[in-house]
Formats: sequence, C-alpha cells, structure tokens
Amino acid sequence: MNKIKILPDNLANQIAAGEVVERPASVIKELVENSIDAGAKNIKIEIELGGRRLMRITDDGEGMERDDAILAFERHATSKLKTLEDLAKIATLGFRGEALASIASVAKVELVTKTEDNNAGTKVLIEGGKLIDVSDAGRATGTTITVRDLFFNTPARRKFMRSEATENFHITSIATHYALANPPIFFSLTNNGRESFRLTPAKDLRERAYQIFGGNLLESLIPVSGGREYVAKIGGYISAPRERRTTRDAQFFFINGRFVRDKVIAGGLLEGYRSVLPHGVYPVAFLFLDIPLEEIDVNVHPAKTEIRFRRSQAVKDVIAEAVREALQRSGIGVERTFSVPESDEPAREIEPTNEANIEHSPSQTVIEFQSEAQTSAIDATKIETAIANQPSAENDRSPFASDEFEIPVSSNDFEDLAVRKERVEPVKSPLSDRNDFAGIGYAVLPPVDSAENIPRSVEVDEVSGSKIKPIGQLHESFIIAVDDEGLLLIDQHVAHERILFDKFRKREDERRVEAQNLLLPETFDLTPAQSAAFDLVERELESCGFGLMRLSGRTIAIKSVPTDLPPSELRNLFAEILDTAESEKRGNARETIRDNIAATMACKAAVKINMKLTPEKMHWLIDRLLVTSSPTTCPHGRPVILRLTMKDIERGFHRT
Amino acid sequence: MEFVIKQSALKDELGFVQGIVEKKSTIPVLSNILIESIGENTIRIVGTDLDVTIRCEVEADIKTGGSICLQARKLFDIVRLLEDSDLHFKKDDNDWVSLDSGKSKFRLAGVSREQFPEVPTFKSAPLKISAEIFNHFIQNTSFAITNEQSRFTLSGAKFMIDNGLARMVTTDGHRLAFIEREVSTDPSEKVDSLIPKKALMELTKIARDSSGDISFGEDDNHIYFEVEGRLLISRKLSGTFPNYEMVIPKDNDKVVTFDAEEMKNAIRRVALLADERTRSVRLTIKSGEIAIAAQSAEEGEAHEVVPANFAGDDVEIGFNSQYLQEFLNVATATAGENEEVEKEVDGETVRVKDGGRLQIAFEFKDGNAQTQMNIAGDSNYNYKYIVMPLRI
Repeated sequence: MNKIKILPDNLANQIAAGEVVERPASVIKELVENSIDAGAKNIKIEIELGGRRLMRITDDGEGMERDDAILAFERHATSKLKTLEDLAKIATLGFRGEALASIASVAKVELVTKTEDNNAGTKVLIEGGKLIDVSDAGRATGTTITVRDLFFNTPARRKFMRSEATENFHITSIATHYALANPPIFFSLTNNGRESFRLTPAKDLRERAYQIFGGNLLESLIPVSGGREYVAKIGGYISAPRERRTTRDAQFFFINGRFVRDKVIAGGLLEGYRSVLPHGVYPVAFLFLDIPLEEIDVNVHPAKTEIRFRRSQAVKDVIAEAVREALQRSGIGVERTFSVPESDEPAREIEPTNEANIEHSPSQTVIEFQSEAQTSAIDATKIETAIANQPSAENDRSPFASDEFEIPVSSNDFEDLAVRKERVEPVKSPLSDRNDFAGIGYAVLPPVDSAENIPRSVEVDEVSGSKIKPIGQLHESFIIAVDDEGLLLIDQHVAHERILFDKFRKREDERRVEAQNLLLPETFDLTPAQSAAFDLVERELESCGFGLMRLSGRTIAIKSVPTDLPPSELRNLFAEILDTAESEKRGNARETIRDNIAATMACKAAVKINMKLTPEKMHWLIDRLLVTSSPTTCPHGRPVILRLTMKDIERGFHRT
Repeated sequence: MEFVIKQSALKDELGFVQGIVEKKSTIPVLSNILIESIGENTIRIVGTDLDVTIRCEVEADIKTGGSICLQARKLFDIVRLLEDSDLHFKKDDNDWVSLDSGKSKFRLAGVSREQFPEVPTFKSAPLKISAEIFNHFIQNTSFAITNEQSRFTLSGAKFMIDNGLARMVTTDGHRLAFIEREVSTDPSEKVDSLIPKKALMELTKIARDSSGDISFGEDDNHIYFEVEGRLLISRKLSGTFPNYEMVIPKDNDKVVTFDAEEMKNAIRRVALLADERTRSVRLTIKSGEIAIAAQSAEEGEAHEVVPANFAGDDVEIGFNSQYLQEFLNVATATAGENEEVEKEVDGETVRVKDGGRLQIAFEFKDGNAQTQMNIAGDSNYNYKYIVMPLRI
C-alpha cells in the first residue's frame, strides 16, 4: 500500500482555501475582483452577520456560459490566463483560477449568471465543493454570487472568526479600496439590510475620495503626477502636511488598478515627506502606479496584495521624487538633501561640564576614546577610577564635574548618526533597526542603537550615580555619557519627555471623568471603515466622556467631549481612535486618549534642546530615565539613547 | 514726496494702525504702512494685514505730493520718542526717507509704493449706530469668540440690525453671548454679517473715545466702519453662523439671583484649586446660598459659600470656571449706572462703572442642560450669557 496519496480535489481546495479565504473579507475581495475583470459597471455587495451568514455580490459584467459557469468552480480554472507567457504580464486582477474553487469548498455558493448572447441564465449550486444542482434561471446579463455559511465545514476556521463588527470593518475597508481604485464603477455595500455606502459613478478619483471621505479631507489633498517611463507612472493624491495620521491605514496603493500593501511604495512615500512630517506621523495617500507588466510579479501570494518589483529601489526613488514635487508645487518646501553642518567648525560643541576648573589640572583625567588593550571595559573603569580619585574636598560638586575632556570624534559624526537614525523606516521598533544594519560595512558607521542593553527595570538606588556617567553636552541638546559598554548619546528632550510621560500618565489614571456638554453638537462624517469601527468603540468612547449619537447614514453627532481635551485636538483624536480601532496596537479608547494627553503635556513640559544643563541635572535625568517604563523609547516611539559600544569604537580604529 | 506734520497728530494715527500691522508678517511688505498725500494739506495713512485695513487721514503741510512706504513699528517707535514739534518727511532716491525734527535726523529705508498691496476701496457707510452702544456690544460678547482657527465661522461676531433692533452674538461651541438693543436706525435697514474678532478689537480701540456715531456699510465681501474720519475695512467671515436661537433655553424653570461682585471674587478664589486643565468648579445651589467647590488631585481643594436668593431643592451643576469668570468680569465692568473709573482687571485697564451692586439672575433646569445668566434689572440691553455645564 502506498503511503503517499494524491489528495482528492476537494481536500486540496480546502487547503488552498486556507490561503485564499482567510476571512469573509477575502471572499469579498476575490468576488469584487472577478466582477471588475468581467467589466462590470455596477457592483452591489450585501452582507449579513459580518459575512458569516451571507455575502452576495451582484454585477452587470459580461456573465458566463453554462459550461463555463460549472467549470469556474474547478481548481485552476480561469478565463484570464491561457499561456505561460500571459503569466509574465498579468493585466487582470485575478488569474490564478483558485478563488472560486476555494470559496466553494468552504461555503454554500449559489451562482446565477447570464451572458448577453444567451436567452436564459444559469444557476449553479455548490456546497462544500460538491456540485448540487445546475438549472435555468432568469436574470439580466451579469453575475450574482451568493456565499452562505462560510466555513460551515471547517469548524477550526469558524472558531477563529472575529466578532461581527471586526469582520464588517475588514469587508468595508476592502470594498473601500476597490471603490477608490475604480471611480467610474457604481459600488454599494449593504450590511444587515442597512446601506453602509452607495457610491454613484464618479468622474475621477477626487470625486470618489469626496464620496468616501467627505469634504474635509478633500481640501487637503494635493495631486501627484509624475514617474518615469519604463519604471512607474505615478498618479493620485497625497495629503498636505496638516493632515496627520498615526497609522498607515489611510494610505491606499494601487498597482495597475490592483490594491496592494507594499513597503517599497510606503517607503517611497515617506521618503518624499522626509523633513515635512515628523517621525511617527503618516500622510494620507492614494497612489496609483502604472508599472509595465513585465516589471512586477503579483504572483507572490494567493491573496495578491503583495507584489515583487524587478527594480524596487528605482520604484521607490520615482515615488519619492513625485511626492516631493507635488509637495513643492503646492508650496511646501522639502529639503532635497540633508545638509550636514560645515565640518571646519572646531569641536566646540562638546562643552566641558565645568569650565571653572580647567586650569589647575595636570592631574586631571583626559578621557581617550581609544583602547590600548583588547579589553573593552577599560575606559569606563578608567573614568570611574579617575572620578574616584578626584580630591573631593577641593570640589564638592558632583564628582564628574571637574574634568576636561578631549573627545577625538568629530561632532559631525554624531549628527550623521542621528540623521541616519531618523531615516530608518519608522514601522520598525527602534530596537530592531540594529539587525537591519548588521550587514553594512563599517564605512557608513555602524548602528549605534544597542540601547536595549540598558537594564530595563533597575531599582533606583542601584542605578543612582553608578553605571552611567554624563560627561557633557553636545550642541546643548544631547547628553554624552559613558558606561561600562561604551559611549552613550541621550536626547535630553526625549529623555525628559519619557520621564514626565510616565508621571503624567499615572496621574491620568486617577483622574475623574468629566465631560463638557456642547452647546452646538459637532457632526463628524465617518468613512465607511470608520463607521464600522465606530460600533466597536462607541461604548468605550462614552465611558471617557464623549456623548455620541448616530445621525443618518455615516454621520455622527458629538454632544459632549472630555473636559480636558483641547477643542482643537478633538477631531484628530477622534479620527485616530477610529482609525486604530481595528489595528493591532489598539488599546482601548480611554487609554488612547490618556496616552495622548499625557504625551502632549510631557512634550510641552520637557526641557528643550539647545538648553544648557548642569551636571546635576544631567545626572538626575539619567537616573530618572532608567526607572521609567521604557527608557529607550519616547512616548512617540522615537529612540532616547544612541550607543557607540567599545566594540564599535575599537573596530573603527582597526583594533580588532 | 515731502511734508511737515505735527508729532502729536501723527503719533495718534500711527498708534491706531499699529494693531493691525502684522508682527510676524508672512508677506514682508505688510509690516509697512503707506503714507500718501491727499490734496495740499492732508496725508492718508494705510495699514493692512489683508483681512483688516485701517485708513486714517490727518492734517499735514504737503510740499510735494506722492507716497512713501515705511516700516510701521520702527516709525511709530521713533515718532513716539520725538518732541512734540514739527516733523519733516522727505522722500529721497531709491525709496529712502529722511525724517528731521529739530536736532534729530533719521534716514529710513522704505519700500516702493508698488509693493504695497491694493487695499479694498471704501464704498459707503450709510448706517449709523452710537459708538457707545457698539463698544458695549463688543465688550460684552467678544470674550466668547472661539480662539480656534479651524472653526472659522465661530471666529467672529454675528452682527445684525433688523427692524430697529441691533444684535450681536458670539459663541465658541461651549457658551454663547447674546446682546440686543433698540437703535434709532431706519427700520427698513438690514445688516447681517460676521465680523472677524480682530476687526472688532481694533474697532473698539478706534471708537473708544468717541462719543459720536460709528457709520458702517457692507458689500458681499467686506464690511466698512467709519469713526471720526478713521476707516476700518474688514473682510467678512464666510460661512454660516450656527442657529443660535435654537440653543437659547426656553424651559429653564428655576432661577437664583446673587451679587455679581461677590460671586466673581468667590469663583476667582475657589478656581485657584480647580484642576489645571479642566478648570472645573462645582456649584451647589441651595436654599439661600450657593456653595462653590473645586479640587485638584495634587494640590488640594477649596470651598466657599455665596449668599443667594433661591427656594427649591438642591441642584448641583459643574462649570468650567473660566466661562463663569469671563462673564462676571465683563458684567461687573460694563454694567451699572454710576460714574466710570479706570480699574485693573486681570492685568488690563478697563473702564469700570463703579459702585453699583449688580445682581445676576441665573436660570437653569438641571445639571445637564443649557444655563442662562442675565444682569437683573438691565433695561437698556437684552444681554444673555448661555453656558453648557460640565457633566460631573
């Protein structure tokens, strides 16, 4: 008996369904793509119970002949691909011939279709991959596919389905994406009998964006058009810098009409905004890329939202260029290159912490950043000994206050490092950057961010005055310090911000909830996705002081707001909560509000850059920083500490 | 251009124009003023930030006609410090201007006339309203104008004249100030416009010492004011002012009266311990008194009782103390029948009609709905201040 067997088709389809049909939204995606490929001008989507009970897509596309209609449910059956050559330049949205077969294997599917030439339509019923019935049916030209009881035969999947509101949210976002990509097509989405949106054919993307996002956003959209022949043509809209989002949820990328999630494009976009938007803030964007078919590979994953570029760097550059141009045209200046300050400035930026004592000091310590032996800890120990040896009677300021330093590192290098850090893509946590740089040669200076080595939860008395020693300030903005492992640069503003954030945040928890009733309720137009998210967070929002009421359609009225929320931040914060409602990092709304308030206050109250600090203050900052909840990142996710380890330094001097 | 002018006359007019000349100017030329000759013995001074324009005319001895354009702040600072005597201005080549006064000589860098923006021409100002009434309107309502740039329809005052009634309304979405009074205009005259806050504030400066009338008029985009030869032209705010009549409470069935001065001082004291950000104070209205309380998690708490005329069950209402203070400040400063004196209020000198024991009637329904405050027994003005409570 052979142990290895060919899987029956049905089982193979169910397995494939695992990749293609991840959740109800993926069914919608596949079916909408089919409708678009069939040249439909009207696409109606109906769902019930988050798509679990029913999903129905009705279109007026070209329809199918009876034989085709049956064959369509076979695996690898497609009208969109005929030869291998076709695969190299896929122009339709679908092509793998998997979707219908996969969906049919895990649900009860009814397909009704008619072509222009046929008099009668065809109805096909399939349940769990088994053909149940084929019969005549009446309908106008086009196709209706009804998917009932998704995952009825795969209990494991069914168990992993999220709440109805969550699935609604995903379906709504998918439908929104395709509606944006196809302005001339009529789209409607009906959820449990209630119309979520109804988008009449729009003449262009701008009009479609207005239908979906409302007039507020429209005012801050800047048209983008650019690109290069044979690389990518770029069109669409980006937002003026005043429009800020804390997630990338409002970025929509389309390649040849296909919605994609792609880091290359997102990277190019952000690159274009560099020095216009602060770190951790994302623009709104609708970018349409026309890329020659042979330059890309969409056949990466069955869901087809990933894409591979033959020349990804070129694509990224072209996007960044187009975005910069668009911003400049609209009068928002963007520096093209980061200007490094002139290097002929002497190293005066590094100020001795105490100038008064410089003179009388043949015995004074000179810290040299070079290691004579192979040991890596010498400097720190040396410093510490040196400090210990300071005659304390002569000087009862803090012990490190009386040293003169020569630091043979050009201060520009530090700036360079800081700059390079900023360029790193903000999606990654600062700690993970390190690995990305691991392969880069020393010529560009290694990553200095190994701050995770700093103990995260150290007792106050243990840390106080021991390990980390501040030795001076760079540009009156960054504290230079040393510890056992090498050199540290601490952003004084960000460090203080972290300390204050923890303090304020704790206070926020103890605060009573108070709400200011509004004399004039404010209305807020939600996007379809926000509207779905609203159901998820409504109660939480109310528990923190918002008084909310759904008006007709996607409009809500805000009747009261948390008292301590500055009115100017109301809209942004509200949108942020809704936009993050479904993403991974979602805390509850109340936490978000409190985090937000605490972060804003901390930022305002913290010491600024370009502020001279006495050694005592530097010491205090470092001590307090180390006992905060997360000493290495600020509340906005920026790094607090950069590190140049002894190893890096030694390697730099070719001592290893 | 060359002219001679009295220092005192020029100083006053320059003072009026300063307020609108931009301090942090985006367009550099807007930090300048334009001086032009009109006939043989008048100069015209114009300053603008493109939203609001002020134009003054003042007597001067014109030697040769023309125009000069000078940095407003610098010129004002110089003129202020010169002795009260004749100032002699003369335009030299390349827009340099020399200014001589006795032993002082200045040479100032001007800009060319062409760079100065065209300001809207003054149309007509057919309507008249007493400057005193208009000032009173502005003083009693301008504090409730929102400071938020984004809500531009609320960033000014709604001003209307209809059927012999003049009315001004301001709001920031949390509270609303409403003032109304009969005026002696032609009953067929109608005005309905939104005046930006900046224009109102400048207008009060110009009209402060006037005992006469303010004339005004409007067209589609601008509103024009004239006070004793000084013109103020302001762009109107576009957009729709909210339906304020809808939010004026109709069914407030409880009323308590108290002394304005006592309440103002009590709230000022108690609010010192209100939460820094919410500024919330709690009023408990009881038979015969109002108890005011505030507390801040870190700093402590404060309580004070103000006698009041009230009969009924206890009601507790929370308020943003700033909203109450601002109203009580203007009410005590502008109302009352007695002689005016100058007095310091919150660091600013305002004219106070002193001595009157002003009573406030405070009307409310419960701790949640709109509350309304009036000055009891004010027969000239119909003045209402509506505040939304805090839900505590």
